[in-house]
Order: sequence, then structure tokens, then C-alpha cells
Amino acid sequence: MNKIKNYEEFKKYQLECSASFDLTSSKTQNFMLYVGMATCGIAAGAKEVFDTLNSEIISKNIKNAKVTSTGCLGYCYAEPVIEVRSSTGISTFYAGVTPELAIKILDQHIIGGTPLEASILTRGDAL
Amino acid sequence: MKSIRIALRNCGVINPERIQDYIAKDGYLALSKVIFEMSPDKVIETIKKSGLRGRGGGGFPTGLKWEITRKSAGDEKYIICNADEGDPGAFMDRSILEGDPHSVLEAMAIAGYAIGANHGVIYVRAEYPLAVNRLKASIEQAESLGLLGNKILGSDFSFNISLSLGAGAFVCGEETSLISSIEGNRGEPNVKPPFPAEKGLWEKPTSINNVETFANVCPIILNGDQWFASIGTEKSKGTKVFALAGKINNVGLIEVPMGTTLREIIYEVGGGIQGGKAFKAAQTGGPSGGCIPAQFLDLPIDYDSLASIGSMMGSGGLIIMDEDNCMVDIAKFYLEFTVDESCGKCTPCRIGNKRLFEKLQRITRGDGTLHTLDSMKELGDIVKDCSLCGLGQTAPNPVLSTLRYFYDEYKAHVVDKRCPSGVCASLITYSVDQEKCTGCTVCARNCPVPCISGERKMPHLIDQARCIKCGVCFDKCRFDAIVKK
Repeated sequence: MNKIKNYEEFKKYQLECSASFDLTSSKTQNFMLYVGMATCGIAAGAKEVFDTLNSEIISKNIKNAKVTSTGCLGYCYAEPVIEVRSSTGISTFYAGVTPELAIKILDQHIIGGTPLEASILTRGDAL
Repeated sequence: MKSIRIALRNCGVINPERIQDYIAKDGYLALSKVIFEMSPDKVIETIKKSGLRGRGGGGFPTGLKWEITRKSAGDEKYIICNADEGDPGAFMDRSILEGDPHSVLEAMAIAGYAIGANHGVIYVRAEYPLAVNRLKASIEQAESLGLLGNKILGSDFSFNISLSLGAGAFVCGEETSLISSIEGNRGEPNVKPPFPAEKGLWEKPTSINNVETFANVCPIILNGDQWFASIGTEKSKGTKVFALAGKINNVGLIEVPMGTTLREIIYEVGGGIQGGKAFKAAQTGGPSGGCIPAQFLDLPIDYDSLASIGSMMGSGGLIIMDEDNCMVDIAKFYLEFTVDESCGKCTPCRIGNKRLFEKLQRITRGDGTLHTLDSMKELGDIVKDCSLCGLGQTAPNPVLSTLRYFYDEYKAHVVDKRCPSGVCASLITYSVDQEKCTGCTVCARNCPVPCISGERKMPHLIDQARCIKCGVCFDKCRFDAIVKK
């Protein structure tokens, strides 16, 4: 990436960044999976969950979802936490996610379209 | 839930390793606004009007600190970010650095613009490797986009940030010790004045602010001082991040407006006490703070209200204690920590706290008298008044505040030689309830010493002379036949 040379260029770049960050404007991508990976999340097993999600998405050839890491949401008691942000503007937070549960979330929520009610911590508007 | 996220606005929302995510959430917009649309005086004015106070513990007005540093004469000035988070049980700064590193970098650049500094140093604990790596990567990303470094966004303002790793000394969170440490000297405090704002790093005017303070700066610039000043109480504006720990159901990180009561934090946000037990005390401010008893559950929490009841805001560690915690033992725990971390430069802190700790040891052993309690109060006040830096000046707080609010518990230790919560090993005895004991032998088989004897199906007996009071029998007995007194 080249250096941004002035204020106008920065504002333009910001619009580009916002467009790619905003899932609701995406036509091809329906889900973004955020895995809480601060030190606390990693200690609770988030790295294994993150790796499982990534390899499953490749092996199951899932095209409409991506996985990314994020910081700490503050739900220490519920780690590892993953947030499924959908292009409809709804966020679903899953608590105590294991690699096995992560596979279930992919199969049922992402592919099947039905959230796993029993493991949901909370729901909200996508931030 | 009564939480507002300002400092934590991006934590858990963006990928901290992608500067594009941060920019999408208005990142670096505040810095460009400041550089192109505001004068340094206007920036300071805005921060002053917002009422932002230092989140590291002291609560000094941030805008005023910047103004003093700006007005101090010096050919070069520095910005330091204090990320030497050392309170037991506190992890607010780590979460911000790991979840939203750019918010700190951007705010440091804004502070640099305001006071006329071109260089910033982040003093971060080496025990936070993930935070260190993310900070390093973030600085590189921002430099490659021209958002940090020389001539930011084509303007005349340049700002570079470097990292300095702390080696784990608690005293280095104190600003003059922190500066000594960055300069390569022993982490020991110096006499103030001169304050760092006049003579700081390399003898140049330096503004030192905490991670969470910086995390509040960009939203203030973007949303205005009035928006920020509308949140919180009269003298404490905005929000505070607390790390909830201890005997609480929802352990974690919360951000609530200043003026929220302990009851709201514990029972609404925190989900109540574990096992439905009774609340006994909340410890705020880490080893520098005090214990707040149940009578203050409805006190709105801000800098001044906490100080008025003998505690302090501190950096935001909030440890909840229930009826099973012994307050004498808690005071001993915190004092042991500060005795360990005292740098030894001044006598009151080095020797005074050590003697205070020994008195607490005597009390928990059962060798204390009422006179010990009086002398602890006297010595604690002397250490507070005479110590050189913030560490010593606040170290006796856990002892003094528990003495004030839990005097009866101390009295039980020294007069009745009894620990009401059953924590202090020397003051408790385990015995077998002869009626309830079924002679199942579980206790005898699990006793590590072993000092429990008895025939199968007959009541057992504990040999008090050999008992080490580990409590294994108490935990293992399925018939409640072990009595702890």
C-alpha cells in the first residue's frame, strides 16, 4: 500500500475500508465469523477453534463465510466466544466454543441456516 | 445492561491486525481532523472541557497535563503511554492493546500534536507478548500508510512511536520510575517536583498517560467535549473499564458510566455472587486501593467517592469477595505483594511495610493483641505520609481500610483467637462430629499426613497435634461430619 498523501485521499481510502468492512453491502458474502483471540481467548482454546473453522471452510468449500480474529469482548466467563455476523445485520454470539461445536456451527448455522439455540450466549445488532 | 463502550468500542468488533478495519470504524479520522482543522490549543481546550481524567489511577485531568507539558520550555518533548499494568487481577490495558492497538497509537499522535512532541514511547510489560506483537505490527502498518512517521498525511506534523519493554517491576508503573527505566537506569522513583511535565524523559517535558486514557481521546475529538461531559458524574466524566474478578458469576471486562453503583456492577452486569452467597466486600484499586464493605453498595462510583471512603479508583481492577474471604488474610495478601515489589529506595516503604506485614502475620498466627491493631493503624499512617512515591503512599490502604470497616473480624483474630471465615490455618481446627460420622474411612484414606484414625463403620478421630489443617477431610466428607471451627 502506498502512503496516503493528503486529507482528501484519506477520506477516499476510508470509504473503501468502510465498504469492505460492512457486511450488509456485500453481495457474495453472507457471514463473517469473529473469533475472540486476545490472550484470554487463546488460553481458553480459541486458537484451536480458529484453526478448525479455517480448515473446515476450505474442506467443505464454503464460499459465503470468512473467519477472522478479533480482540476481547469481555465475556471472560464464556470463552472461547465466537460471533457470527450476518449480512442481514444480526450478530449471534456463541459461548464455550470447542472445535467440535465450531464444526456444528458451520454445518447448522452457516450451511443449514439454523442457529444452535442451546449454545447461544446473546444476540444483537451487528456492531 | 448499563454498559457504554467508549474505550472498548472496537475491542471484539474489528480485527486488530488489520488497519483497514480500524479505519472503517472512523480510525485515524480524529488525527486527520486534528492536524488539518484544529490548532494544538484547540485540542487541549477540547480535552479539558470534556473533563477526561487519567485512567491509570490518580485521576489527574488529562487536558491540564497536556497544557502544562505544552507550556513547559524545551526544544524537544515526549509522549509516553503507560502500559505497565501490574495490579493483580487487572487486564483492562491488555485488552485494549490486543483488541484495538491503533486507538492508542492515534491518540498518542494527537497528544503529540497538542503538546508539540514528535516522539512517543509505549512502556509495555514484556509479559504481554501478544500486545507487544500487535503494537509492533500496527506501528508498521500505520507508518506504511503515512498515518504515523514523517509528515503525516502530507502535513508538517511528524510523529514516531517506539516501544520500550518493562521487565515486570510493579514500581515502574509509577511515572518517575517508568522514566528511569526507559532511560536504562534502575526502576526507582524520584522526588516530585519537578514533575515529568516539566522535566521528564531525558530531562525534557513529558506527558505520561495511561492506555485507557488514550483510548478515550479519539471519540472525544470526533463527538465533541459536550458529548463526553454528558456521561458520568459531576467531577468524573465518561466511562470506566473494570476487570471483574473474584467470587462473581460473570468474570470479565466491563465498561460502565462513572457513577454506576457497585450493586449495579455486581448484580446486573456481573450476574451476582457465585453460589448465591452473601457479598462481603469489593476491593478496588489493586494493592493501592481498599476494601469497600456492603454498606457502600449503593454509592455511585467515581474518583472522589472512592477516595472519600478510603479506597481509590486505581486502574480498574475490581475483586469481589464473599462471606468465605477473611479480610485479614486479604490485607496480608496485598501487603505481601507491595512488600515484594517495593524498590527499597525510601525507608518508610521498605521497612515500614515489612513491619506492617509482620504484624499481620502475627495476627493470622494467633499471636496478635489489641495493641497490635492500634500500632498497625499508627504505622500505616506513617508509611502513607512519609513514602517517596505512589507505591508506598498507598501500600497501607488495604490494611487501613479493612481495619476501618472490618474491625470486628480483626478483633476476633486477636481476642478470641478465631478466624470467623475459617481461612487462617493457625486459628482453625478440624474435628469429627461423632454423631454424623458413619466410619466410611474416606477422610482417613485422603488425609495426606495421615492423622485420622478409626475402625471401619465406627466414628473417626483427628489427631490435632499432627493435623496440618489442609481441609481435605472437610472437602471429601459426604456426611458433613467434619466440623471446621
